[in-house]
Amino acid sequence: MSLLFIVFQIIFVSSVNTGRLDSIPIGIETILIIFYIITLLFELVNNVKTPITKHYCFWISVGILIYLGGSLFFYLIIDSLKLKEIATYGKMTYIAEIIKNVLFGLSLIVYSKAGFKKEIQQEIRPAPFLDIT
Amino acid sequence: MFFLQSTAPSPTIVLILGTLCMFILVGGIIIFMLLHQRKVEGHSKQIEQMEADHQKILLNASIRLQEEERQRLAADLHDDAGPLLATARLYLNENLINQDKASLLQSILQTRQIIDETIMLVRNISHNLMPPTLKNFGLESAITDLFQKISGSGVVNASSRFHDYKERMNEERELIVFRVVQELINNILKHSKSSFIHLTQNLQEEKIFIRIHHDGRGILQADFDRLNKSYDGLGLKNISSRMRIMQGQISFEKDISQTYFKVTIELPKIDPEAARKTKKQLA
Repeated sequence: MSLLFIVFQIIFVSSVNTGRLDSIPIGIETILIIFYIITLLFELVNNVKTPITKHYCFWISVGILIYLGGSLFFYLIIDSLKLKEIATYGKMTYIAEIIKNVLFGLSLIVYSKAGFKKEIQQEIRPAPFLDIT
Repeated sequence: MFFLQSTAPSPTIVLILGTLCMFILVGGIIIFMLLHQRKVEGHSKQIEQMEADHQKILLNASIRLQEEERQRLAADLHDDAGPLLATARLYLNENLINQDKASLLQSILQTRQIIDETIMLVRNISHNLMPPTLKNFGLESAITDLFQKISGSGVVNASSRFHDYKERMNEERELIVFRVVQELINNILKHSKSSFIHLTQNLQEEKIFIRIHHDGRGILQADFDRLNKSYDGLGLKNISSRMRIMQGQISFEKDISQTYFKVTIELPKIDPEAARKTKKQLA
């Protein structure tokens, strides 16, 4: 599907006289990414061993979803907006971006904690058998 | 006319409504995923609990069977070997010295006869515990021996045929397989009222197949699963535990002609645990 999208993008850019930003490719790309994220989340959910919130990918996915949700409609109508309106409404996407970056930071913390736990588990070696006779 | 005079909605309204809808959608996806995982976790815990309960039942059955075996052994020794040895001791009392030669000889001969009987009895008990044929000559010989003894009774026509057993399995695995076959045969003799039992062994793609056919009243897989989960069917639970140890499978069904009942034992030719250990050592 990604390959199809790349082909579509090449055709679109070469054939259409684009303005500032292209609403159609952005819209299709957003839908594709949301679809991929839902697939990833389903895979994480089916892995019963780890709770989904302890997996760093979950927080990255949520961050991306929130960002896409907050900016999708702005980019969809961007072609019909004036520069002044773009500057005004563009600030609304900052909220989504801030939340996304916070969640990305959270994912780093989750990842480092998970990595730290693995190191501790590897370091705990059984005591050697001291058979001194 | 009124509907033709529609004005384009304000970008603010579109943006706010659209973004709100997207946030609701995103929130819905996240909540759904969290709830779904909780459901999957609960389901998985339920399965784990059922597995643990089943293991408990199998363990209890194993312990009960062991105790029954010990009681049987104790009863055999107490009721048969004990009185025989006590009688032999009676013959060899202090008064033997005062007896005349003829009486003395008779007492010694009778004592020897009693001791011979005791030796035979203890040998039989020992053979039941661990058949020497199995240890010395392998599974094929032990099963052939067992089937010959059953046929010798004249009640059932029992035969066995090993098609491809040139390489013996290790002692432990052979003993487990022998016990499983023994238990199955005991069950067939006790419950099925069959007139013939036939065992065949084949080797296919590094797996050993042992099939037992009989023409009596048998059980199917559903009956085996049900008895395994209930508190009855001690022997079947033991079979189940033994198959698990060997990482093998057992199935109860009717053969293709739907005339005979068939039990199929499938197990890997090489012990997977031993193979894994050897691989580790070589690595």
